Parts: sequence; C-alpha cells; structure tokens
Amino acid sequence: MTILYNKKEINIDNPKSVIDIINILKVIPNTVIVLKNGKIVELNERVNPEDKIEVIKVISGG
Amino acid sequence: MRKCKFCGKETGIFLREHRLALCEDCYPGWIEKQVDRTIKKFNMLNKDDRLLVAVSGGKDSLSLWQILKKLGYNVSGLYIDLGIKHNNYSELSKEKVINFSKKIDSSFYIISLKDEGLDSIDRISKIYRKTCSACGAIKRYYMNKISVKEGFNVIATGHNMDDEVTTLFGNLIQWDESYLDRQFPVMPSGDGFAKKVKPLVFISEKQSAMYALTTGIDYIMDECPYSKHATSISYKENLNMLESKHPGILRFFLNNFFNSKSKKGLQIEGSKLEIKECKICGAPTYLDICKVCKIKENINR
Ligand SMILES: [Zn+2]
Ligand SMILES: [Zn+2]
Repeated sequence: MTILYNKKEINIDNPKSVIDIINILKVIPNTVIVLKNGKIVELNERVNPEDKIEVIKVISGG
Repeated sequence: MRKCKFCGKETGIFLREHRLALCEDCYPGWIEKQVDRTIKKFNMLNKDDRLLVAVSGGKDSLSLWQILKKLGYNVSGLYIDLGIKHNNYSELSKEKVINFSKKIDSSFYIISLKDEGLDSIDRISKIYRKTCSACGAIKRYYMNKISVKEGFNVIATGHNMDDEVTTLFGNLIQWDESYLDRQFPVMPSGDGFAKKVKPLVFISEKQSAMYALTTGIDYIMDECPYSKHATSISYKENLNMLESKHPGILRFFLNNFFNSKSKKGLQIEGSKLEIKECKICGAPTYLDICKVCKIKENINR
C-alpha cells in the first residue's frame, strides 16, 4: 500500500498494523505521529489496504 | 480502542507517561492546562506582562503563540527571516507565520537578516562552520533588541521538553558548568537582557506536534536544512528510545534537575562574566564587540 511519510509517498508491502509500518520505516515510535484516515492512532492499530495512512516525523534539530 | 478519560469517546491518543487516554477534542485543553501549570509553577508570567514570542513557523512556536493567547496573555510574535533558500524554507515559514497571526488575530514583527546587513544564513554558513550557533546568537540578539525597542518585558520561546532534555544531556556530556548554571525554564531580566521563559518545557515534542495537529495549526514540517546533521537530533532519537522503554523518564530527569536547582537557588546565579555594551551597536554583551556585529564584519569583509 502507499502511505504518506512526511508528505512523501512511500510503498509498503501489506502492513497488518501500525507497528509493521514503524518497523519498516525504522523510526522510533515516540518520534512520529501516525494518522489513519485522518485520526491519530496507536501502534497496535490494525491497518487495511483501503486505509489512508500518514506518518509524520515530529523530531527536529535546534 | 481506548476511551477518553474526560468524555468517553474512542481515541488513539494515549500518553503513556501519564497513563492517560484523551480524544482529539479533549486533548488541546489538557495541554493548555499543563502549560498554564508550568507557567504558574515557575512564576513565569503575569497577566499584565507584554510578551514577545519568537516564532519560526514550526509546530512548537506556533502552538505556544496560540496557547498563550488562549490563556489570556498580551502576546505578539517575532519572526526572523533567515533568508534560507533551500526548499524555499524561509519564504514558506514566513507565509505560515503571517497566515497564522491572522487566524489567531495576533500582531507580529518581522526582522529580515538582509535588511539588517547580515545577508542570510546561507551566506553566514559559508563562513561559520557552526551555523546553528551563529544563527542562535542572531536570534537571541534580535529578540532582545525588539523587546527593548517595542516595550516587551518578557520573551517566550517554544523550547519543548525534548529540546531541554537534549540540551541538558549535551551540557552534562561536556560538563559545561556555565551552561548548566543557566539552564532553567525562566531567566530573570537584568543587565540589558529581557526576562526569558520557556512555557513548553514539560510538553514533549510529540505532544506539541499532536497539539498542532488537533487544533489545525498549519506549520512548516520541513526541517531547517542546516540542522540535518546536528548532534542534537541523534541525542533526541536515542533519548526517545529510552523514553519508549521507560515512559516518563525524560520528564523525571528534567524535573529533578530543575528541582535541585530551585532548592539551591542556582538559577539566579547566572553568568559570572561582566556585562558590557557592544562598542558598535550598544547591545549588552560579554565581549567588546557583540557576536552579531562580529558576524556582520566578517560577512561584509
Ligand atoms: Zn474527550
Ligand atoms: Zn553589536
């Protein structure tokens, strides 16, 4: 499925849940927010192919 | 799915360190309450203060601007146009600030490095290898300058908990006593410097981003191109790995540090160096010529 990672489209093979996506992106859960169909979701949230998934990185330098 | 503690609605927002589930409607109010609590705990602000918030167009500063406005403070924004061309970074962030100020109906000031004879951070980065440190000095200089010129008695910055813990960790690694002495959520005014406060000091970076998202703040998501390789990002990621395994540990670390300083009164000690007036611009400085005038000299050479 295609997801949005920091506004860029990325292809991820059949993730079953948010944690699968987090693992494939190799990001630390605390440093991202995951939206499923526009709503903030937890790591254990199930993901279906028709869902719109967006991952937003929240950590910045400074 | 968990249920919101306040209204019972299903939600995906769960704050592990507080063992608290909140829906997207109840979450913003909870954050505003936390910030209000921090302001009161550290005696940061009074309702008759005139506040200047340094805004970059990012999630933290815009969230802070909105929260302070909602809490009833007399607040204006200050945007510093750094002239960063990469990905149109400065233009886009300026646009976000202008649009946001209209949305929350708050006034703001714009300072442009170009108009100030400093060209741009792009130019400065070619001379100064430590670009972030030069940029920080410039930002502090203009925050202070505008606050004095326009009669603001407090400067507020959007440093979040991750920023503060990262700074603390870095200062401990370096064992930099003068920075450790000065690190505190509120710095009193004096020697020509305005009072400085950090009301988001106990709001994590993720909480701040969730606040921006749940209240519809349109912020710049792009990272400043100069902070990409910054050590602070690596520290932040590793500290967050620790936080993932031990929820609340970063807050505990920071809180203990501040509490021990409060007890010892270290925060009011500040720097032991003598303050002078910059021979060129008259700004308060520890040197004969302030860092910003020095940068100006170097880039116009
Ligand atoms: Zn609720
Ligand atoms: Zn000067």
